[in-house]
Amino acid sequence: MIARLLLLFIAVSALQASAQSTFVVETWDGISEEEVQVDSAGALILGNVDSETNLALKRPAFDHSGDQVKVTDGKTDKRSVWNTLTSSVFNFFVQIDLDEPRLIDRVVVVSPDGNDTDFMKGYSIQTSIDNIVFSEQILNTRNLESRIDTTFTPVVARYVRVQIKAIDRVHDVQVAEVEVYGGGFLSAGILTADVTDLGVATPKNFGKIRWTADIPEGTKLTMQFRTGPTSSPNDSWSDWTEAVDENGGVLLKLPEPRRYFQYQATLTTEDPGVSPRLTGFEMDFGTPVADMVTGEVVRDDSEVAVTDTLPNDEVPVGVVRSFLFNLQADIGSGSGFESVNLEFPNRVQVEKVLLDGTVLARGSDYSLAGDGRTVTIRFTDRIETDVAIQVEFSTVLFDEFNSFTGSVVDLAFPDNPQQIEASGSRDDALGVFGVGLIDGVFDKDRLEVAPNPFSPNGDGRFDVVQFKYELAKISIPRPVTLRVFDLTGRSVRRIDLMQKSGSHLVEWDGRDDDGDVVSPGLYLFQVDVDSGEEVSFNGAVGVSY
Amino acid sequence: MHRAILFSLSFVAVSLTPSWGAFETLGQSSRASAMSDAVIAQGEGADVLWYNPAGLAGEGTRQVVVDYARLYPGLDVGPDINSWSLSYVQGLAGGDLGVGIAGLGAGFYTENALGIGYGRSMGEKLDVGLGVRMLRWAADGYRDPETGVQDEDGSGLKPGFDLGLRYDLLTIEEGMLVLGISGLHLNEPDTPRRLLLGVGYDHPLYLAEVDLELVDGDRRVRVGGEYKLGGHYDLRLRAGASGIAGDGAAGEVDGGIGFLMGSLMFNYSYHYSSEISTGANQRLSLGYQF
Repeated sequence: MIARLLLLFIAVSALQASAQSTFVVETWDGISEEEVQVDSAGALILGNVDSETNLALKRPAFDHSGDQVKVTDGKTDKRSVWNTLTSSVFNFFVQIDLDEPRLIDRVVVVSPDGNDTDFMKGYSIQTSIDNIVFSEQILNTRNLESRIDTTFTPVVARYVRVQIKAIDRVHDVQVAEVEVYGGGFLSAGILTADVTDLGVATPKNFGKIRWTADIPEGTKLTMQFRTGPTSSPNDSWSDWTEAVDENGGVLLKLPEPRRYFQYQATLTTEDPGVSPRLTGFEMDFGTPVADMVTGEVVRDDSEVAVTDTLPNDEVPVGVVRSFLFNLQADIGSGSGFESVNLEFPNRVQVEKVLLDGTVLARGSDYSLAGDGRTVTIRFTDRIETDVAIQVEFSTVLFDEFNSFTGSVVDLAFPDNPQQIEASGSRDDALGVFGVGLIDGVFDKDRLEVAPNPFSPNGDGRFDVVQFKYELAKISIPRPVTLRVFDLTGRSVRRIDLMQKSGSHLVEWDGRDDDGDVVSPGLYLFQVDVDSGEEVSFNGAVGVSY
Repeated sequence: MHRAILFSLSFVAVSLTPSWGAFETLGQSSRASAMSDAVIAQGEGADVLWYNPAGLAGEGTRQVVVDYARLYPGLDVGPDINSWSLSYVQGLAGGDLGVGIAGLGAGFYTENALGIGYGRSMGEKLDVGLGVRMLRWAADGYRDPETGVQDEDGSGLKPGFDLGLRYDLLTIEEGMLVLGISGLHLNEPDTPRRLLLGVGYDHPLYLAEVDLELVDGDRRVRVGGEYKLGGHYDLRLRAGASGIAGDGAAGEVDGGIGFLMGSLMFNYSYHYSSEISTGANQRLSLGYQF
């Protein structure tokens, strides 16, 4: 749904008078949608059901034999009834599925128009969350009313059953309508905020995003974002980011600089009695580092003999190859930058850095930092004019599509880097395709275990054993378990991980699950990968001290 | 007799602590392994020395048994793991004396054990046994191939004292219900104190046993049996299963055969673990009785 956002209070406060500002939402007063509403404190909450709303209307209803019945169609004429067609109706029932757990406290059973004899002479109102266990809310074995209107203590239920508990052996039972009323919150609601125009013609560089919320147990709040160059979202806008539930200062990889910004809040609850509350939202933004920074990653075969005939955006999976990360920075009215942060799908070895075709000297012209998967190139001289940067690196790729990302940083505002966009040459310019060679997700020949044996005696030398392995073709993190056994098969240590394609290093410190150092001896290890197919590898490792 | 049982029980009822020398719990006998080592009450032959020294009592003949196993043959990384033992028993001073050596080799890591045990019958129903063993482990220090840094070699040496008994509980039809209790490494807090309690039924056509093993705070239940097909070679079929309860729960199944060719005894066992996909352990033994 597209909801309209009425901001009664938007504060744009200057963090840095020259460049950095914050977009602030402190209240959502004025929002009144079916799915989301605003509470008395101005916080965004899930829509609350009106006590006069018939929750059963148009919901599926069935009788005791599983046949669909028309008791929730809103009609009370004789052609739209549940008719038992017999007077032997004891324990017959109709049941309604409310589609989701709701807070209910009232059930009304309506007889067909003009029929005041074939009603339930006794009834039981039962509710259930799971359609397995039902709780009786009301039991009346002497009913004299053709219209039953009964209330009870509010209860959370998805299924409502009306069961016949008395018969008069003369009349059938006919029910025209079963109505269910209650209150509580909807199970889910989405607020799609209005597009935010950051107010000036110059596109902005988006910084960290924060929000405050109350998240009671059983509820959840996630946020999504997108940016664009036009006042109305269209094909030129980015896709929504993945849902984010971390609210402590998230730096999103949104296309930037852009003038327009939009967010979407998704609220859910498993308990209609409580709702998550979004109480505040902030987003830093500032002057762009450059008018545009684009990049592409291609294979570099200039210094190696390669026999394959793949195009330059494809490489064999699992084979070390050289690549070029080509960046083009059009500084324009931007502030310029000193640093480039690059993120790789696997650990890389940076070979060279070139500026406008000139090879830079490491140490005097730039420095490198990072763990191999992330690399920060810090230039000695600030870059304030348009420039082409080329980073030569080598790595092994394991996925069918390997994404690279990066940003440039004006160190005056280190928390607000500007993302590198794919160059115009192709939409997937910041990616390389992997093809062939590795059939499975794991190549046992690449498994390394060292030091073996190791000595967890705390002397700082060979105190932990490292398991190095590579996984391929696992695009999203999957459960990976390292277990260590003694020779009798007894499990002594279990380490649970979430991993995807790439090179991985897992350490065992020689301690068991209780934190005690294991006895000297020979141990077995096994790594199980839950990749959709059964994959495991194992070996022996010695402990000596 | 009852005092002897109480003495044995009180002696082995000690706290269980972490240990090294765990290779011993893998067993040293193909016959026993085929029955998941559920042999505390009904072990026989020279290699019973490693399970319950009381089982040595009544052997009456000289016997030598050599046993070899390749453990976890399907490992992707690490050395080949081999286990072996050589055991001997003969009558001495009204009882039976057993001696043996056993070892585990895995490239950079080795464990060895030297054991001596003596078993003797105390009346018609009770056998008791005492054992002494010396355990040694050694590991080559790791050498970093890039830096050349060499870790120190590691080793350790510990003695262990064992005590066991077997008691014929009662006769049921043609068979005998037997109780076995064995405590291994009872003296040493740093070695694997193992308390084993077994009840077995020995029938002329078959035997069956259930054992409970306590080691390092874990409880393992072992169930095993042997079907005596007989015939010219006294062929025997064996099977067993064991399981660990608790957090490190695991299960194993075993099977095997044994037969005699004159004075030669041949046993084979096959061991499968449900937890570790490294291939089955297989164990062979050859014995000679004279």
